[in-house]
Amino acid sequence: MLLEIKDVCAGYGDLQVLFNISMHVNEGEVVSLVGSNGAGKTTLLRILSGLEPIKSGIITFCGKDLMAMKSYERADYGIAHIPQGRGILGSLTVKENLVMGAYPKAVRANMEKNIAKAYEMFPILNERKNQLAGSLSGGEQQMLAISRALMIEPKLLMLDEPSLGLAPIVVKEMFNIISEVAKNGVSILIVEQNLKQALSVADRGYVIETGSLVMEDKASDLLNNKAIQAAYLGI
Amino acid sequence: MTWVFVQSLISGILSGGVYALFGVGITIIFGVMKMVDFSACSQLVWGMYFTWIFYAVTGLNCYYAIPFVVICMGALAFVIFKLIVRPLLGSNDTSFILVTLGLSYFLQNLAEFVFGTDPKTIPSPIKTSSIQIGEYTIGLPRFIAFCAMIVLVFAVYALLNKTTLGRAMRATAEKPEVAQMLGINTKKTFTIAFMIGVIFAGISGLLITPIYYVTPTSGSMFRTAAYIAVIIGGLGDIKGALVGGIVIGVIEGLVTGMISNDLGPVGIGLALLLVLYIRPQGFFGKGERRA
Ligand SMILES: Nc1ncnc2c1ncn2[C@@H]1O[C@H](COP(=O)(O)OP(=O)(O)O)[C@@H](O)[C@H]1O
Ligand SMILES: [Mg+2]
Repeated sequence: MLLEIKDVCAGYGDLQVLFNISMHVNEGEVVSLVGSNGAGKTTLLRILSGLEPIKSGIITFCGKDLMAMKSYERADYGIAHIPQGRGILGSLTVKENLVMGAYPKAVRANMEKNIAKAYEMFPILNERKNQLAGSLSGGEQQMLAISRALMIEPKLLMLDEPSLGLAPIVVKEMFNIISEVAKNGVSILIVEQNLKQALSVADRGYVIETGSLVMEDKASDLLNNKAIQAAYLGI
Repeated sequence: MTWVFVQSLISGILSGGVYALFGVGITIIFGVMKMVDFSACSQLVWGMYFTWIFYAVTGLNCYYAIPFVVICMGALAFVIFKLIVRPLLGSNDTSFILVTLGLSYFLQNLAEFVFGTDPKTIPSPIKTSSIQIGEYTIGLPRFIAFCAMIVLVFAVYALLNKTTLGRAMRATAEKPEVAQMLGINTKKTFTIAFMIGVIFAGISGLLITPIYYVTPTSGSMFRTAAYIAVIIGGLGDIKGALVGGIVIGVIEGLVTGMISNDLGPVGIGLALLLVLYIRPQGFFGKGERRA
């Protein structure tokens, strides 16, 4: 098991946001955590990146205690996080964003090779490499965010609402890209409100409601689940 | 009249160089940490005293003291960061303002306690040397200070734009959380930014030892002029601090040279009002507003 979360409770000050969350991601698996706005999805990913503490529970990554790792050490261990809003460094150029992706020592030597791969996957980034990343369109920024995350050669790629703010056609493309990335053996944890897209690319899915997991199943089964269709897909 | 104007302009540009250097130091700290360091004037005073200590021990002129002052200021910065700044990271801006103001008085009083109040000088033939270009005179210490500023500002510019550490500092400046996700130890980049800023204040102090007496309050002229330079340049922008410093130097030079020796600060104050009226975000500022 790559990532295992056991009985995690967390929150902000007195406000508890996550209640006894237990879930896992296997090696090579695509897992989607879906739920509506305010359910606690972002909070969970921020915990996994070391940006928020937990109140109780255990999280292990590759068998190691994740909460014992400093947040800036987690990239070294192969955790890449594309935050909500993409986390592009707008005052750096496109190329500089990619270069920063290769900051962990273990992957610095592979920087040129990985940048070439990124340009091959997204030629537009090559064309715009000397432009400030802030000037890219939303879709291009998401491409840059994914490419930058891949620079660290992650074991686990976490995406927080990759579809947010993108045109429907771009959303589709984005999820195709995520499937591509998964085929290369990267484990992926997607957090989404957009159930349909997120579950259609996933192997397994979890549904979160106001801080508690209410369902876990194969993604295809969740998509066909009547209760979910009624609650989230308006079918 | 033209002679007075050109001569004042020249001295203004040159003294602006030190404001610029000092301002760039404050700007680096603000740029990365989003906090204004109000103790920089007192750090400058310590730069002057470290230079004086070096002279007292070796008898060499101030420029030989550069490595010594860099090391001392770096160490001072490190201690200040560990003891005072680090516990404040993540708290609000007001506490940083209050604490750095307090630190400023502490450093000034510590200097007074250690060195006393009587002015010290570092005698050297350079003090009174000057370069003559036609009918205009350029004081050598100011000229050297200006050149040193140019070199240091370019060095910082290259650091920020051409090195991994520099890019990490820029990443931290823009989005500290994203920087951490990318593997950057932001506490370390904060420390380095703070150290560079303090070292710049110290070097500014060193460079003015041939021009001013060394006293615990020698930093006070920088308390207004240099901070105003940073503001009119657009807080957080290195180009802005550079241009702002020189503009303030020129205004001060022209006002003192052509109107009256006492009116320099008035001219600077008016310039501030004018810039805030026309372009409140400063020359290069992006109008970013913090609470
Ligand atoms: N920094 C914060 N301080 C206090 N409460 C927060 C903070 N961030 C999020 N919350 C609260 O935590 C809950 C979960 O938020 P979040 O994890 O962002 O949900 P989601 O990503 O699923 O939309 C919400 O009720 C939100 O208001
Ligand atoms: Mg969210």
